[in-house]
Amino acid sequence: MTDIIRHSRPGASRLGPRSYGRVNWIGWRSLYLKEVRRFLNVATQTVAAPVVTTLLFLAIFTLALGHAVEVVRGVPFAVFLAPGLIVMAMAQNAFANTSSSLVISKVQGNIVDVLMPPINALEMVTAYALAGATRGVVVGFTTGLCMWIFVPFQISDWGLVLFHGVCASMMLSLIGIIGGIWADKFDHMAAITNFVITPFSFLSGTFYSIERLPEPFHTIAYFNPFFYMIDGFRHGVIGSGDAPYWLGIVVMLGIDTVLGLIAWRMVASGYKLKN
Amino acid sequence: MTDRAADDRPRAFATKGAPQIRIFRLGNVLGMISLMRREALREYRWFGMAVVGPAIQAILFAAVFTLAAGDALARTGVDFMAFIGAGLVISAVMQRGLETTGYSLMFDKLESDGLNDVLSAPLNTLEILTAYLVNGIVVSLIIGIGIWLCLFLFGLGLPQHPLATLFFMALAAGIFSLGGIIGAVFSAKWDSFAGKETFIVAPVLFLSGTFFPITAVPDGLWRTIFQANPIYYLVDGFRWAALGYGDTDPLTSAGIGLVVFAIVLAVAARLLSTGYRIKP
Repeated sequence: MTDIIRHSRPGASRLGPRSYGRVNWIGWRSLYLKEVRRFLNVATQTVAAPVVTTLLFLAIFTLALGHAVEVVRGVPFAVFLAPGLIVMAMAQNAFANTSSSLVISKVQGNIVDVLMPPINALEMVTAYALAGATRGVVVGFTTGLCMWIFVPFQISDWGLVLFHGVCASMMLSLIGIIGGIWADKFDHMAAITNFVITPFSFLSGTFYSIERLPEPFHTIAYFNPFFYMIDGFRHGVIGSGDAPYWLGIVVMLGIDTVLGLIAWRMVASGYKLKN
Repeated sequence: MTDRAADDRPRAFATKGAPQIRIFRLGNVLGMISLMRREALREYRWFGMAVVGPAIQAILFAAVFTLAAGDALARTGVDFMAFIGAGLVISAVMQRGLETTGYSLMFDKLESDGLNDVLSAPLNTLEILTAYLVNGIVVSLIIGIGIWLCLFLFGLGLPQHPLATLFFMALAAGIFSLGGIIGAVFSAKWDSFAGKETFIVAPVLFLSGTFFPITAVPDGLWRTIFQANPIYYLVDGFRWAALGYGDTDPLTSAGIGLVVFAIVLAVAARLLSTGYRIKP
């Protein structure tokens, strides 16, 4: 059998164990591309749908509150709202990407296709997380572009916008991995979305400046990582934020590292993945 | 074993009499009730998430509106929370109506052979539609009332005209339940149903004055477009029933609602009776 293969295919003489260096780049790249193609394949649902939903939010809130709240932080309400909604869409979609992929794989059983190949825990986590972040960034960019047609906003600091866009997507992407590994059923995932993701993304300053919050909620807001992601991203767009910009950067880097380590430990230990 | 089975059979027939053709006089009531029960049981399995999701969503919306503009809106003199609350209730009712029938039919079409069970049972189109419709309306009303109770916290009071409130809720739920059936018939995959929800239903629903008065829309072309949306009248009628004020005469709203209901009913009945995309 081996003889036939060896003789029938040119170059087949290189059959044998494949070797790779410290990182299995081919494996990593394949997993990353698999995850990206997974959402690009249904781009209507994964990219166009959030754009429409976000534009609807913008319309609803501007029409409902525009006459009552004219200026927030020195900019029109719609301009204040736009960056918050964009980063919210990025966050929700980054979360949806990794969590749904893992839960579906677990329920359908094809998670073994990811666990069997020679991809280590770190490679697996980074591939999933970056693919989720990719979806976040793609959604954010598309949404921003469409929103800009209706609400022409200027970006005051591209560096801050890109940093927070990527870090926010990364954070939710990692939460999605952790949640996806923990969840056994779609119900669990729905519970995380309903009780964690949606409340946090709604109540962390997307729609209002946290200066408006009464104590003790004002102080509590400063312990909420979602607040830093929204505030930092908005800071990059409108040029001013509730928290100092360096604090936002430190918090986002810190939280991404911690979440990354948790996700890595979970995969490495095989928690709820291997038995 | 076989002997006994062979022995039993004639005896069973002897006691019950010869098998005969069942005749339905006033419609197959037993069949309709069975289908309704199946639908209700199916709904019950997912009921926790089906109630909790929209309820949390409604509370979050209410909280966000209060935080973003509470004091500024208080100055305008209108009880804004009640206004928003009514919009949240009716939009949840509509969404649930659509999902109850739509998801059920999609599930039957794609995941199980359940649709054949429904189509091959001695039920005619109107009986099938009635069963789905009643279930859709009941489930939506339960969700709507549940959300109403949650929104008590935010100052949504008791309805001004309770019967009219129920009527408009049921009408909205009915229209969207039938819409769910139509949507599911046309959708070949889950994706296409979700697409219809996002790209058609959500814009029509959320731009129908659920969260803002029509006066907030700039006068001219935009307002005309908004007013051409039949759902706007349903929402407005419901708001009149719940809060006692509306932009349009409630009877006109009810009339428009009933016309829309008749149209979607006719379309759904036509689709089911011709078996478009559901019968081979």
